[in-house]
Amino acid sequence: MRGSRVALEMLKEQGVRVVFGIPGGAVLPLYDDLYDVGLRHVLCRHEQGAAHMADGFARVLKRPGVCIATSGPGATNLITGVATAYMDSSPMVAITGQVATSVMGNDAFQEVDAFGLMMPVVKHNWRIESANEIPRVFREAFHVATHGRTAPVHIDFPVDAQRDEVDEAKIKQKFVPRKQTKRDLSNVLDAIKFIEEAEAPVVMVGGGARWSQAGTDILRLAEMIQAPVVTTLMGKGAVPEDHPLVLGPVGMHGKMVATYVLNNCDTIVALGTRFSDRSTGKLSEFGKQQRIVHVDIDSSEVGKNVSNVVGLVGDVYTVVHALIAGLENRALRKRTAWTERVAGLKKECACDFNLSGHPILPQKIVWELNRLLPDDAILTTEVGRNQMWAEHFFDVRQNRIFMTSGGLGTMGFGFPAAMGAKVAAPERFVIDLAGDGSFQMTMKELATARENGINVAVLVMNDNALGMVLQWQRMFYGERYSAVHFGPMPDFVKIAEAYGCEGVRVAKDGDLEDAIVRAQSAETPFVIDAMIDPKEDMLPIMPPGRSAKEIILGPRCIWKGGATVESPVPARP
Amino acid sequence: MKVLSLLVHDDWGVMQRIMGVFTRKRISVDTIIAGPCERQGCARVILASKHPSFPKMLEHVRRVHDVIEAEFIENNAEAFALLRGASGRRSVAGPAQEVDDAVEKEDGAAYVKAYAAL
Ligand SMILES: Cc1ncc(C[n+]2csc(CCOP(=O)(O)OP(=O)(O)O)c2C)c(N)n1
Repeated sequence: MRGSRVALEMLKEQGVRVVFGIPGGAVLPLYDDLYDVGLRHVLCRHEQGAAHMADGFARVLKRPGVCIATSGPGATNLITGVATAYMDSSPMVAITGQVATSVMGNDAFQEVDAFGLMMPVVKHNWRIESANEIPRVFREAFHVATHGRTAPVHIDFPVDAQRDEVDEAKIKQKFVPRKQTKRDLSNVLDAIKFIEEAEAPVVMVGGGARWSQAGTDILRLAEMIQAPVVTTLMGKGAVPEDHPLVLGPVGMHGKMVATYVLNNCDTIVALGTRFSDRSTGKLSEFGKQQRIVHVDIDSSEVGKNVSNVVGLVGDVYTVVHALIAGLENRALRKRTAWTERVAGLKKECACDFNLSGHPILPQKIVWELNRLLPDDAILTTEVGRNQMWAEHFFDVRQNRIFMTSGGLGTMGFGFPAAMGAKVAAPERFVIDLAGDGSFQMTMKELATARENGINVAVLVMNDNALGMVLQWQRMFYGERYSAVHFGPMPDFVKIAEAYGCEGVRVAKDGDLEDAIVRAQSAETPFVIDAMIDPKEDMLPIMPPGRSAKEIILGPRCIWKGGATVESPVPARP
Repeated sequence: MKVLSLLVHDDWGVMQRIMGVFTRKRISVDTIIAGPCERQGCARVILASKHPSFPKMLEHVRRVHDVIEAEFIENNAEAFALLRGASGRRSVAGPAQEVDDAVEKEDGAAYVKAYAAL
């Protein structure tokens, strides 16, 4: 069998049924064999879209998404999507064609050092040197992507290796992984001691908990130790947000109650989070008065951003179970004062954001989505204020999924990721909450969606501007607006129609319901162009580089600074 | 000076991956020795650095897929230096401190120096 065929057989062996990509000269053998092997191929309009689709697919199924690009420009176009997945620990196998090994290094046509370019944004990558390496490399690629911290991997695949024959013996050869993932639970007794001694514990949940699918187990732990649960942006949705102990996201645009409780507790049990500055605020001021138990699958994360922690290395699911087992037979203290206080604070933060206005207020859009989306809907976001409205207000209850580019913050992620999610879960309603700027980055994939019957919805929060940047220029740069206002906007309804999709413009908030309901039964991809108030700032905000004490609340926030409910817990010295 | 010893798979790009870790974290590595070792298909890479954050890099380097073993080696670093001065070329090898001292004494000579440990 020739190399290209073997590669595709390897994908099938790994359970892959669908790949996203664009062909080109250096992947012609691969695409030739794709004709025969019975893999579904989604032809994208830009390789970035292919990578985001594979990523969105992976975030739903927790299995690697696969994307394919040709050499040179195909590979460079793919990089943004691969880096996006890398920053959010999303498993992916990215395959790029490469010029033949005989001309490699000669600046041959469409040659680029994809191997070197991808290196910093993948967990590992391989350059196939001869066809006989194909079975091992592909098997290893999937193993590396899915074991330990999940991540994208990359295979640079020269066209001659695709054409050459592979020895039968190499295909049959059993794959032995090179590296075993290590756990280190040697500190578990210290962790249990911290948790036992805590008077005011908090469980902080990051993206790792989602990859580990440990939501139920985390809630069990939280209930056991009577600790409220806060999430990071990436952890949002790891635990259902309608649970009474769940306070919502912390950080730059998080819920006041969550950020407050995180910063005023005495013990943090951090599960699968890297303590990103977006979650903690100024790092040097974070966690000063707390004892911290840090659980992460990646040992290099423990102590990286926040030091003086009790570290436990392992996946969240396993470690949470170890903690539960360790705590189970102990007489745990009642933390009634703490839980009552937190419940009181939660009420202090529960504002009504069913706000009417003309133009439409963005809060209202999320309010309508909360009400109208089914309990298993998938909501993706772009980057900017749209993302932060969704983080702050969208209610990830029951089986809903919230998906966003948290680490890299890639505008243009949401729409193709929604498509990938829809391919992974065709029976679910998938909607991208977009900004007008972000949507324009990848809206060409409407063609892909239409062509492949991937009927997702996009709700564009249209403020005729790069809203988030505009807000920062207003708040932090003395209202000197530089390159944030768009001129005449393309007509997104006509754009949708031009691609054979349905589109509707919504100028009044009373019409939102109708549009969102229509989107759910549409026979094509569906674009809602909602005209929102560009003057409505995304608040509260913890300004960049500042701590939780310096949060700007804004006129609509009802938070009273946590003072309304008295603290029974003295801060630990 | 801390000395970090790595056993790595001798695959394409392995040095680039290892050095990438340090470049990204803005940690300068002072000397590098890389060469074949007793295990087939593997190599040893010995890095030395005075950078204050260097000792924190162990887990970050272990994360590199091609790295099989990584450990700091305390107290038995050796060094090798090649010098070219007015009196010609000569080399010094031995305990790190002795080589450092020998190089120090050679005022103005061109030299190159690297640390190793096992
Ligand atoms: C690819 C990319 N380029 C630039 C940025 C910087 N950036 C962050 S938010 C933002 C504005 C987003 O505007 P829009 O999509 O309209 O969303 P809004 O903030 O208005 O909701 C920009 C330009 C980015 N995150 N990603």
